[in-house]
Amino acid sequence: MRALITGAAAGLGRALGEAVVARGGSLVALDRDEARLAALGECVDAVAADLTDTAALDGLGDDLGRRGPYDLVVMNAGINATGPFEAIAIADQSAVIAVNLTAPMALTAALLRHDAVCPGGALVFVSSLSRFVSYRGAASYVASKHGIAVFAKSLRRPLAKQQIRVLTVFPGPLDTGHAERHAPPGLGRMRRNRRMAPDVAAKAILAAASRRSGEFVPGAGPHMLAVLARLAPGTATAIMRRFIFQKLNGTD
Amino acid sequence: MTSPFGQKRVIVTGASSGIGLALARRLDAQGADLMAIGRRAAADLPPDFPQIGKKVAYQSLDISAGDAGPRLAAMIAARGWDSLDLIIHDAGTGHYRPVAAEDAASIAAVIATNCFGPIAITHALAPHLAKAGGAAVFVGSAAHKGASGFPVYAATKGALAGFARALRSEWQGRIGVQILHPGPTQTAMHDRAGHDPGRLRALFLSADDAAAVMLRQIAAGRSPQKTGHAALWRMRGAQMLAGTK
Repeated sequence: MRALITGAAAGLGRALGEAVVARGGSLVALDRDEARLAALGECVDAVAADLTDTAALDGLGDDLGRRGPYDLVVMNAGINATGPFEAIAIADQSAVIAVNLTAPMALTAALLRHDAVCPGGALVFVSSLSRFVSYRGAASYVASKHGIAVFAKSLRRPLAKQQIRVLTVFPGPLDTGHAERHAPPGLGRMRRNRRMAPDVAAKAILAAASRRSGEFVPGAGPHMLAVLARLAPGTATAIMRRFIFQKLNGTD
Repeated sequence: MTSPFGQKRVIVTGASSGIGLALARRLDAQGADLMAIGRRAAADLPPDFPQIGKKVAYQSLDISAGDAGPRLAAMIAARGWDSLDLIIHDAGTGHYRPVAAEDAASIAAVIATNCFGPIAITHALAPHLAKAGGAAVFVGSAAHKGASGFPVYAATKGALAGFARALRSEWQGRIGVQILHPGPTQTAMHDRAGHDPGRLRALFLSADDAAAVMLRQIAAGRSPQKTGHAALWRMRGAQMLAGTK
């Protein structure tokens, strides 16, 4: 198995890469952090790139296409900018949209032009549980994660004709640096051991990607919240507030 | 019946054609203090554009440009406005084609117009909206849940829906935030996008009907809302019962 993973030097991306290598797969790892990429070891094909550089995406996509074809592609790289909407510099919000939405769409376009995803392979997009449950103070992040989920859903049928599975993953807060910095108020104070470990999430994601297209929420708790949010959005928000935010903020 | 938009300071983007133009006409007729924004130069406006009342100020502005927010803020200052009651982000663009036919520049351009432009403009005008206790209205699309023929367009409208939901929660009680999802409408959008809807076009809402329904939905303030035939019939029914039309 040959896999391409973006944002592969840390967090969920790194855990996904390790799981691929542990199964004997070969890995193309993309990240902006060269030092951490180097630490992944020599058997990994490392590509250092800054996904905020939209003008470089076509060239990068061509490069990645030539390194393929892949049985698994995971568009995992993501950044966040949290706080009151007016207080977050617009340049930072622009970067969130560039990395989380523009880049995965443009790289997908390039990989498909190069026929770099094998028939029988899977194209995985990492969205966020905030697709389903309220996440205040991260409007541009929520925009990017909604957008990429809708993009993935739009590709499902056309790519099924090429025998390519398209899976969208909606992780809740993981035990990673990203969640440590950006989890919603309340969830951020959740004890670290309550969050899902990235290697557990990675194994679940790989298992789902090998089987099916569609949507996948790793973990029983986040999965239940997502289902509830779709059936009864008001109730889900109330439960989040009642049982998670207030409890963790010590106001309940 | 007095209009909820009378004397209100209102900006409409995408006002040089389609639903945006219909919105501008209706808002002007209802006595709004209107600033109509479009990408076209004023000289390239449709010939009947000047028939809109004298108060309409048309300003040419490419909302996908990086400095669109500050430039619009400057236009507001030049108009002598210190606050803003309503902005309707109607400008939109897209292409009917498979994703492999896209490149980074075309994807970035659609994101800039449909998604990041409205975000950046809302960011720049937040103080004006806060001062008036005003509202930001985003125009999504029936495609916001996914559309295999328009994957990038659908993604930008889905992004806008997520943005509006998060910001509505954040600004609750301070500034209104709404997203309206029009179904297919008789505008030049489909031709420009390279999509021929064929006979289905006869089923599309007219731009003017869509604008009428949207203004009613904006006055009611609920979000998200579908702007389609069902909403049009509800509006006509209510108007018949009230004897206003």
